[in-house]
Amino acid sequence: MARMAPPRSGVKVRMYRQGHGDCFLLAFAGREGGRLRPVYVLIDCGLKNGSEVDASIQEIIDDIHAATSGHIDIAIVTHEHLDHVNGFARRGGGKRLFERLSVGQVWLAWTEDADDPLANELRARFNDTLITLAFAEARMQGVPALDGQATRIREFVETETGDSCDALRAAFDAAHLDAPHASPAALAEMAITGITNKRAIAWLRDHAKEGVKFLDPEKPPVTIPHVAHSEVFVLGPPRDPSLLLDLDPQGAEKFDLHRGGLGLDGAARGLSLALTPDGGAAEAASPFAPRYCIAQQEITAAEPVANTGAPARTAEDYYRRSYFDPEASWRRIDDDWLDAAEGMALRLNNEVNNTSLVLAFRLPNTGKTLLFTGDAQRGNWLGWADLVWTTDNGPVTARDLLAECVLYKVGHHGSHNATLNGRPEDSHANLGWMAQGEAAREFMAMIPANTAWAMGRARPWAHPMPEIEAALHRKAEGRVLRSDLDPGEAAPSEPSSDAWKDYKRRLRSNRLYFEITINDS
Amino acid sequence: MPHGFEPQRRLRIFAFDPWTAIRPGNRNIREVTISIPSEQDPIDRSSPCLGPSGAYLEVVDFDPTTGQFYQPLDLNSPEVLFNDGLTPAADDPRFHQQMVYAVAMETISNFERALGRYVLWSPRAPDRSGTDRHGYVGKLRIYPHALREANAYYDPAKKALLFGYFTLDAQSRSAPPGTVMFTCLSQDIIVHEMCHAILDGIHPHFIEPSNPDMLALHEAFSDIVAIFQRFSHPEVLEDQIARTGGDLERQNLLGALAQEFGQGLGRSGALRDAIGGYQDGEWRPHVPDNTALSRARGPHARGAILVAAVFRAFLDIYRHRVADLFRIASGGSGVLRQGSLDPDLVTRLAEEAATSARHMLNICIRAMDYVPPVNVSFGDYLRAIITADHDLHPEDSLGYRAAILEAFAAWGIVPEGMPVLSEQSLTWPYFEEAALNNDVTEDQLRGDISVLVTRPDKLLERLRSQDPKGDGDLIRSLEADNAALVTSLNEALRERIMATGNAARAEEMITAEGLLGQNLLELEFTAPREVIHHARKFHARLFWGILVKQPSALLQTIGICLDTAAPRTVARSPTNDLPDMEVRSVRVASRQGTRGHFEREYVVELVQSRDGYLNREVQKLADQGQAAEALALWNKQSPFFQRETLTRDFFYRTGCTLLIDTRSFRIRRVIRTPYRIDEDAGLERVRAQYSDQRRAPSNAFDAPGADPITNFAALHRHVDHGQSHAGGW
Repeated sequence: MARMAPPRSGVKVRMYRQGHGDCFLLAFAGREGGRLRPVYVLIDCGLKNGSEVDASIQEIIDDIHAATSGHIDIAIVTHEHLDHVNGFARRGGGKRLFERLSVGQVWLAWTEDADDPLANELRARFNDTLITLAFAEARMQGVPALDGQATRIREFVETETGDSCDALRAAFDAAHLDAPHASPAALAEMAITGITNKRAIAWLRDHAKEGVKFLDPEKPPVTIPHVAHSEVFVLGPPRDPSLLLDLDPQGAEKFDLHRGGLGLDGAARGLSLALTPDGGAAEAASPFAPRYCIAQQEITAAEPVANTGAPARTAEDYYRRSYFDPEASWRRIDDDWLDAAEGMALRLNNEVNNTSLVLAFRLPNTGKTLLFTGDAQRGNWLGWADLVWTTDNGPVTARDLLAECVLYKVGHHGSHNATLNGRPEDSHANLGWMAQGEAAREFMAMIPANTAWAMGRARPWAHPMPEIEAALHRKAEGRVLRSDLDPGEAAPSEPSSDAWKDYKRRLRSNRLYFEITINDS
Repeated sequence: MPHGFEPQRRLRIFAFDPWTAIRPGNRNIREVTISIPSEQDPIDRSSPCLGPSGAYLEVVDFDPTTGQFYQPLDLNSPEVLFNDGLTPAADDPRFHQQMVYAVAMETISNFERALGRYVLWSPRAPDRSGTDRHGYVGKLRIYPHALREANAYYDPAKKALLFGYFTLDAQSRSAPPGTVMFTCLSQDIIVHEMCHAILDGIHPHFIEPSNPDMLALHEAFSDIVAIFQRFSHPEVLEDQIARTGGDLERQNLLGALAQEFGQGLGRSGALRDAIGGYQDGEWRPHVPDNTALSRARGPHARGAILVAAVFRAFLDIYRHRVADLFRIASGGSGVLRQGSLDPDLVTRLAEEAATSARHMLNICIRAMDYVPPVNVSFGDYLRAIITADHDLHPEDSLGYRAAILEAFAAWGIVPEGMPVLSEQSLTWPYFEEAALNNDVTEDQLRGDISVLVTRPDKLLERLRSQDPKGDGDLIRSLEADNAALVTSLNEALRERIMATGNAARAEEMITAEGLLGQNLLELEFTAPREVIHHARKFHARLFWGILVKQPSALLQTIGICLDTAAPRTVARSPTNDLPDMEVRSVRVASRQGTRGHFEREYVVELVQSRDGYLNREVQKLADQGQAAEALALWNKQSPFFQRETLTRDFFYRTGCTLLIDTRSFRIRRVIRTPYRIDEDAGLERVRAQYSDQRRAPSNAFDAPGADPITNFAALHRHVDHGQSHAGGW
């Protein structure tokens, strides 16, 4: 395996084909002390468990090592989901696979910044939700009607944390033993600190020789060290909680952080209170005074009274005849309320996806841009339209950046809501904004996905969504790469066109990765 | 209890939700008292009435989130009986039970008054155990504390209303954060959910999203009833009218009032968004937009437009009714002096508002008997409103229909393909108008119906003796049905008599066989509801028996296809190879006519069903009966799921509602879907609708192809997420 040599002017992008997850390596031609020196940027490294296409993650990490000669200048984590970070935590032969690599800077979204009050509110919200979901999953066990939902919650908790629901509950219980008087929120934080995804990012941060940068769309573009005139524009995550979060509609009209935190609202809070053990016991119990309450066991255990057809005389008798009437068991509602947990899990997933760091790398000579969106969903995209940066060459908007886009890393494996549809003239950022003019000839899309794996699930995931994939093929005239397909399996509309020939010339592929060269001259 | 005196049960409730009630300005209208007619809730003080559990409803206060049952209210305890119920208190679960019971019963009573017949719940789908008695569900379950979320819904499978409660967060605009909000203490939410249940009892196919208006109609209808039911409480109305000065130019009080309800409804937002909003601190109704409907997507957004149209008509009617009062009170100038209104004027204005609201409510409810039984659009509903009102008041002396027509047109709600909008064009056709040619008569049918209605036993006998083409299967199935019905009728009657504990009453017991010798539908409001349920079912079977013998020209006229050559996907009769026809219901609608006399009509609903496939080639194969080939192709073109047997992607249903005069037995009106079951053009439209739904996944994971959303839990929880947004695929 050889070192990855950057083009003299421009960038090479490797999309690794590890499975259902993201891992990208960018090589720029840099200069240090008057000498040429390649600069390597790694964006994410992870995959869903069991979603390998062919190569193993060990082979991929070995290749990263070889390509970079063991040093990554910048490691970027877009967001804290398993399929973006677990590569950093993977071990083999008793050692962390990344241990051999050194890291310069680490770039993270502002949402990871422990000194940012809004970020801290967000994390508290995510922690509470995760713990609630872990306990909801326990409550769902043994209820056949909820099997599908329990499975989904297990999948999501694993994506969010890298761990199982069992492990999360155990961590919570252990925290409770350690600190019996701590508040549920504090216990949740203690339990979450130890999860795999957090440890993966923590390892990176601890090994960043040149420090950690928290990127914010409201700040000027950042530069890549040693790469002259490099500009990286930060498009997301937005700082507006109403874009970031799936808030209840009435709250979303105007969000005011000063009114209170981003804690769980209505439904989620209720679920959390009811499910989390010792989670503020006073609140969790019934909203009514004990004198109005009859425990379920008291009713099932009460001595049966013969039903003579006369009306019930006691509360116990009434409820046994109504709720526990075996003829009417189809009307019971023991578990219906847990339906809300699945919505909560989906919501959390959307929200964490929306905290994705979205970056546009702009090449200095041609102004071409490369758009890496992580798993940004709708709310994140909607934030882009309002952004304006002041540069030496005048103001730059997201619309300008997207218009010059020649490479689009497709968000969230091509799912619904992670690539917005629309026309160039629409006011919200969308696929139609991308690649106007000259850029259209070169525009290509990369979809990290293992579709066979996603479809093979008990509840298939539409990753990518066929409509989005088709739209990308039209837009890019066939220049679309998907991790699980060898290039050329998708036929271009005009195989003889110059644009296609040029693309084929610039593309290399093997079982480990696709590599595309983007020239900046 | 002395015969002839039956006291009404009176129960107090919160007029608004508890937090609105707490505001000092609302001290006079904190609570209102609801009277429940004794026929619906006979009071027998000798034994407790826990739950409450009455003839229609069963409140079961189980909180599965804490594993607690709450003490049930005893409606017959002295503190309830002699005190108009418990004092409204949010911290007493027994008051919660009282409130849901009272409001739900008031809703039932409004429907029964408007329709002139019993409210029945939609029957339970047959299950394998066969223990249920023909699916009859006597009592709707109400669970006041079933969920821990800001949500409440009707579950059509459990025949139950589930109400949630939740802890308010820092974004709350009403009660302080950290306090608990109970959806079962909002009158509007209770009425809204009750309407879903009652409408499902009348039209069980309306929860199928076969066109963009179906679920929207469910939502809008429920909101409309919730608004107008508010106006039936004079205390609240008078207070609000006095407060806004009744100045017609500023008279947005009714709108503002309804808006308050909208905020109470919260999750639906239909009222809040539909009727108006604050601009520069002043409330204004929305300016109608006749293109809004073409842009609106999702049940809530579309429903909001129907609510807005109905409310606009109501405002117009009210304005018209009170114009004279304002002239009188202002000495002819129409401009009132400054200051508060004369209390007498307030009372009169409130009366007019209440009357207008009651009329609108009745019109909207009655219209539900004048719609096709499946696949209804807003345009159909407009036609239903106009027809129902026309049949009742041929002269539009109060200008109601003109106001409704104007309001619907202003919001762009018009029937498709109707070039000229007029009362005449909108009323559903009479039989003669619907007939395709002059050869079609319904004389034979008329004779049969008269026998069916007056002497069902004779018809049964005749069908038995006729058995012309030797297809005795029909008769056999009727016989079997009959035997089952007789048994269950008997059982229902016996239970009823046993329940009274009065052995002497047993002698008055009518035998089921005797029942068949008379007009069963005359029993409405006298026999128990279960007997009516069986009587309607039995009539439906008999009606099926006579309809299949009618000439095909007549069937064509009413949009029914019983042709053996129909596509194989059309559901077939279990007894022979003819396309099946579900006679949904034969029920009676009675209402007051212009002279105060009772007008009665039989409402007969006929429904046919056909398996639909999203892929046209699969459909073609399945239509030809090539199931194996169809399955192979289905699997081949499906990106996500594979099937082992051929199952439909959706139902295509068509049908007809017939209105039959109770005296002449003529079919008066034919209200049918535009297409028959064998017409592919109709199927294509329904297919387009379901294809659209498939294209808009509800989240970032699920592959399209899961079954269409039909339950209200999902409908309410995912309020149009990802549907109406720009940027969706």
